[in-house]
Amino acid sequence: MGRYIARRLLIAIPTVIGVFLAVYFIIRLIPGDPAAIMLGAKATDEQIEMFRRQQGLDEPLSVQLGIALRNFMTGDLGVSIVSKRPVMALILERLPRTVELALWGIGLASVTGVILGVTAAVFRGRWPDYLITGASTLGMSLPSFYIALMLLTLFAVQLRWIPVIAVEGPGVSRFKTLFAPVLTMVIGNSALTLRTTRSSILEIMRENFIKTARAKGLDEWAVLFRHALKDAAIPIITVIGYNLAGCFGGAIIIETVFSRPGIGLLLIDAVNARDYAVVQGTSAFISIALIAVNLLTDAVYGLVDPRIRVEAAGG
Amino acid sequence: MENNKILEINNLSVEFLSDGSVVRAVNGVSFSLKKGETLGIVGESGSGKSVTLNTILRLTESPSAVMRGEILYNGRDIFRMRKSELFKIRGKEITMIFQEPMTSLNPVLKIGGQIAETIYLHEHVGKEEANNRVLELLKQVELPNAGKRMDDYPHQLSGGMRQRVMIAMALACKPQILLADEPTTALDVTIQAQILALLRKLKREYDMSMILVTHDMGVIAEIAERVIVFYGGCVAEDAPTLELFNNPLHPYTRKLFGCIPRIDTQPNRLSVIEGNVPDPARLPEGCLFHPRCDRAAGRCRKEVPPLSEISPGHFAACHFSVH
Ligand SMILES: Nc1ncnc2c1ncn2[C@@H]1O[C@H](COP(=O)(O)OP(=O)(O)OP(=O)(O)O)[C@@H](O)[C@H]1O
Ligand code: SF4
Ligand SMILES: [Mg+2]
Repeated sequence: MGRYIARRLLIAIPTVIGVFLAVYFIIRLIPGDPAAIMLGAKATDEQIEMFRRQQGLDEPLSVQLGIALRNFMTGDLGVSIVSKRPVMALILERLPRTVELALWGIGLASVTGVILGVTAAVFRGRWPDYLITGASTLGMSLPSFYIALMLLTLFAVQLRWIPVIAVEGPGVSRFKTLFAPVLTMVIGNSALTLRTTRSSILEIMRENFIKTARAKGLDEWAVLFRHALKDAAIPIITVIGYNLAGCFGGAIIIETVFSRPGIGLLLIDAVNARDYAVVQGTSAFISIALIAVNLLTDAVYGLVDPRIRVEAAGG
Repeated sequence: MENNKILEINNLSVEFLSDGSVVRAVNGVSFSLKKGETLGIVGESGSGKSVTLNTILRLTESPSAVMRGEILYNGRDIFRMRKSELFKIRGKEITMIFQEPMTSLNPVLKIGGQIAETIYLHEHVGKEEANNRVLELLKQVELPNAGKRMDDYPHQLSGGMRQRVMIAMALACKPQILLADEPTTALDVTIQAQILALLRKLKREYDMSMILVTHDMGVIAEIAERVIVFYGGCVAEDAPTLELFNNPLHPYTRKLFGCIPRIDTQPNRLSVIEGNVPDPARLPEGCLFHPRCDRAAGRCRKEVPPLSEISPGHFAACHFSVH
């Protein structure tokens, strides 16, 4: 297992560098000079020229890239040209909010998905099944920015339960800042977990070992929870890992709509300001987080599926 | 005489409704199992052997299955039992081992735990006692290295070893009846012989009654005291083993033997008889065997031959069976 993880980590290095390079070029393809955006429309050519020299923006692209890459490899993500603060500090400051959103969002989405999926499987072909699978189709087909906007309109504008800008403050509890963003994530992410749970359980209930479990004298609930659900855990964990990896992208949208200052909003603001170092650092950080989530999912597989454990130990 | 019937099946039929057609898997089967007896069931693939055996424990129950008839266990109809009563019989009084050892164990649970689960379910025992019993059972079924194997997962075991685990599980609560559905079909020939010898030994030690389903006349000759020949979900013939081998009455049984020159030679599998097994979705009228029978007459195409006692203890379902 140790060797397996080491190999995966080694493969991760070129991936992260690839992401770094892709972001490096794409951000520079977006029209708009950071100096002009920073200094505003009234800035003189001279001022702009000076700013460019200070920031090293006048060097040839290859030199800029070389320096950026070298700094990145040594863990130096540079300094924001907007706030003049180190990118790493900005990320670490914003990170807890995003992690909080991701863990509550995916955690609750998974619990909801599994419970609804099991319910749909148990009531297969009857109204609770149709209701649940129908609702999941809706949840899957609505884009998350739309769900987020609807919830914002409902809870912040109409009902005034939550602030329009999701920041804690007087009269604004942490729960109020979290509630709607987490709900958005639950609606968007529980559908796939639900469907996977339902279909894997239905498939597993046809397996021979389920007949063995029944022949032992177990009642249907024990067959479902002590046998079928344990076997269904493998596909379910795959989907949860997939959701967790995907939720970073979702967080960008959700944090933007709810004005929740996490990593996602940091990235979007940086793109708008052409704050190259922040865009670069944040996206690299997100890709590393993605790789970590994937590794974690693989490690959890080994815990639930004894067949994988042995293969990994052998190879 | 009547009292020593531990299991009596009367006019059992099982139909499956699938895609608008009715699959008549079992069509009015009657037979009984005496206390301590080993009953063999033979028949070609698709003749309803597995469905019959599974139905004894109501394992075929599903929204698309229609079951009729009676299954009397010690005089009580299993079909009329409440679920809670049925769950006390399954795994404790009547147990079953299946045709597919490779897929009959849960792949994500340790084998020791899977056996212990049955013990916990039916008896109030502590963890230590359950573990000791599991170890004892695994030794009885001659699983090599039983102590270490308890913590293995099914994929670490060969087919033969898995079937031994299934047997251990079936014996865990000292059942009255063991239903063995082709326990060796999926295994290598050498392993087949070992498993059969094991079943025979354990049946004696545990003083059980047993129904053994097989394709293999050789296996029947070795183990069964009485044989039932299945054809198209019906009983074609029912007789003591020796009587059946010496004096097969039903034309179908004779054809089965046509493939085995002598009982004492290599046990053969039932080799192919000309013609097709009847399709349970479109059963022929009259005698189910008439499309393949050399002796079929006009009457055979219209009248279903009843299963009748041709000589004491020897039953056959053919219009022309005479002793
Ligand atoms: N759940 C089901 N739904 C529909 N048809 C079924 C079902 N189970 C069994 N059958 C059909 O019933 C018939 C009898 O099947 P069964 O498994 O009892 O045969 P068998 O005698 O055990 O054969 P084999 O020797 O191949 O195991 C087959 O035609 C089978 O396709
Ligand atoms: S009843 Fe007729 S068709 Fe059927 S087995 Fe006897 S002779 Fe053959
Ligand atoms: Mg079968």
